[in-house]
Amino acid sequence: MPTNAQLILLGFSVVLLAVGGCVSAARLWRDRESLRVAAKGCMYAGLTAALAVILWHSEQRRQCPLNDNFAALVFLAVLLGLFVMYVQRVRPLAGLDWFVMPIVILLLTAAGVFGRVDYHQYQPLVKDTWLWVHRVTTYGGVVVFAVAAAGGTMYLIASRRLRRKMPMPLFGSLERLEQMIMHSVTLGFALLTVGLITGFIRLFERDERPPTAKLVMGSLAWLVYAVVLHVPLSPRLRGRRAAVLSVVGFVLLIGTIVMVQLMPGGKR
Amino acid sequence: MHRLLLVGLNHKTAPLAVRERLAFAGNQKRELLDAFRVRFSNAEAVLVSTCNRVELYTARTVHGHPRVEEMIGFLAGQRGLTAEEVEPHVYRKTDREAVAHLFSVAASLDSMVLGETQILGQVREAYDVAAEAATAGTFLHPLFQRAIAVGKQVMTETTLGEGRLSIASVAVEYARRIYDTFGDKTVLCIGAGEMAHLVLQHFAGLRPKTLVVCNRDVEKAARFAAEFSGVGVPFERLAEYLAVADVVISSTGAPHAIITHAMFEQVVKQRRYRPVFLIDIALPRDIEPEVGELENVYLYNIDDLQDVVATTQTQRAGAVEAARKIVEEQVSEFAAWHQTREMGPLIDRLYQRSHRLAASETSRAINKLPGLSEAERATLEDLGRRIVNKLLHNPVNVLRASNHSPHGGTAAYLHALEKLFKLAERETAEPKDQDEQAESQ
Repeated sequence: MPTNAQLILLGFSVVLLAVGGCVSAARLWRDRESLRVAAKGCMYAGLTAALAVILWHSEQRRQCPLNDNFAALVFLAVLLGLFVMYVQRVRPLAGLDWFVMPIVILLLTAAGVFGRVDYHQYQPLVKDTWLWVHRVTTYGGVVVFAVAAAGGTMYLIASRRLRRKMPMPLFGSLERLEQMIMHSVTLGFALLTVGLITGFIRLFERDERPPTAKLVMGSLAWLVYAVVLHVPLSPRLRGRRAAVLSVVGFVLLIGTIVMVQLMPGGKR
Repeated sequence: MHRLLLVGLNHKTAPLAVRERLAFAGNQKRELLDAFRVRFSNAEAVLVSTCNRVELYTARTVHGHPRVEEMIGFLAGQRGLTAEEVEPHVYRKTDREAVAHLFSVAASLDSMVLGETQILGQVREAYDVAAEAATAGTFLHPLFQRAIAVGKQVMTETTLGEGRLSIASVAVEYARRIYDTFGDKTVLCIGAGEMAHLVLQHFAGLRPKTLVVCNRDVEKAARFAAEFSGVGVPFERLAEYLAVADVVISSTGAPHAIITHAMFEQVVKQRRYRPVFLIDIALPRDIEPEVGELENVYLYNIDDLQDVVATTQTQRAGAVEAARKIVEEQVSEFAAWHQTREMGPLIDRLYQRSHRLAASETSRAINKLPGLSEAERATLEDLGRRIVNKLLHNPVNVLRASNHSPHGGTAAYLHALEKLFKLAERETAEPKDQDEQAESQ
């Protein structure tokens, strides 16, 4: 279980990321270089703090970071945050952090809550390889789909602003957002497919009763993303429709994760 | 005495749908002025018709025609509309107010995009057309020449024209919000007018893969396209190119929409629902507004772009203030100059009429006094002249001084003088009859 000091550091990280997000949003009204630097500083500091929590927690337990639900969630959040920072450094996409950072904050908060009230360790890698592959791919898929959902939301807002002839572009071009959605969905779909297959294999191996809700929700999300991937073949789906589907798919995935936490035996 | 009248509508008073119905393109401006000359032969007229405004300036004698209502009816009638249809959107201005408005228009202070220079060219063109049609006369010639000079002065002496956004640059900004790269895009321009040239110039800067100009005159299209290393195609192949174009700039002089909803619905399918950016800068519009409701179609017309320009342009309060000051000074200067010009002949007529009366009365008195020597006759005639001069000296001085007075009022004095002494040109022509009438009364 994470220590109080680790949870405080995690809380500090959440606060820093939230402040960074607010400062970044404030640039909508007053676009100043000082605000940009402050927002960036807060976000880097927040992510560093979260990374420190994982390292501290792993060092304390002498285990790798993905060995319990607390570290896994923090790790996911850091991965997502680093992805945003990487994109903003290499090829900036205005507004990306406004949509992805709330997910990062949500994941860190969830880590804090579950780490305190429902902490549990995962099976070691050598004992249950399929479970590990399942976790890594589905969690990785969630991260990538979060990016797709953020891109989808940004696309919908940008498209609406263009239709309403509103000045001041908030985000990147529709073309780039669509590319981001498609790339994320393609990668996420591959990860989710592997996650689903390994999940099934593990069920059959252990001869367990399949958790119906988790199966249905997971399969539904997989189907939605499969439809999005059909965009090049069915152009009617492109643009707004693909953006809506990427958001719907992510909502289904989140629903699946929540359901896993709530259903009996879901935390296995 | 002349009266200047203005009736018109602009982007502030009338929506695009009304403006496009009342807009006069190319030869239509000349046709209107020819019709005006036939109907109101004693009046002068200049028509300023741009995508943002339709304004008819007329000058006539105080009691002449056309009246304001006649002007509205005439203007609307020329485009097959009724006066009632346009009246709610029309503004009316007279004399000094009309002069101030024209100068503000020429200085682009009345434009949607403050500081844009296109309007000055449009005012000059309107004046040239009127001069050709011989509807600009002794009043409107100097007025429009002065307006053009004021426009130039504002552009050179203030910073109003600096750092402004143009419709073309805004269109490019919007295109950037849709497309990330242009190296793989096709830009199609329909029409080969001045405005299309301006917008195309900006899009050519994005280095699109293909640049196509589509026009009814293929040779003109080819010449136009060659300037931007593009290709010219005939109008008949429009549908074919619409299916491949990513950005469409439409600026033709067609009286009706050339891209309809039904037509573009098919185009969207052929394009496999790829996003397309349509820029309709024509007036009347070339693209039906319903086209913009289609999936992945982003349609912008001239008002949409100008709205953005107007709302996003930096507040150049200092430059606007300086420009307004120039306009005000020039309006006062023109009014003073015009009044001096109107005053001279009127004072002349006043003196002539009074001396004629004095001479006639002196002559009657001399006839009643027989045996007067030549010297006595001359003294009496001189007396009549001196009385007239002494009587008129003070009123004329006051009249001249009023021209330079900050309170103005010269026009009122001149009008009163004209009325009280019956100095209108047609009235002074037969003073004898009037004087005899006065005597019998």
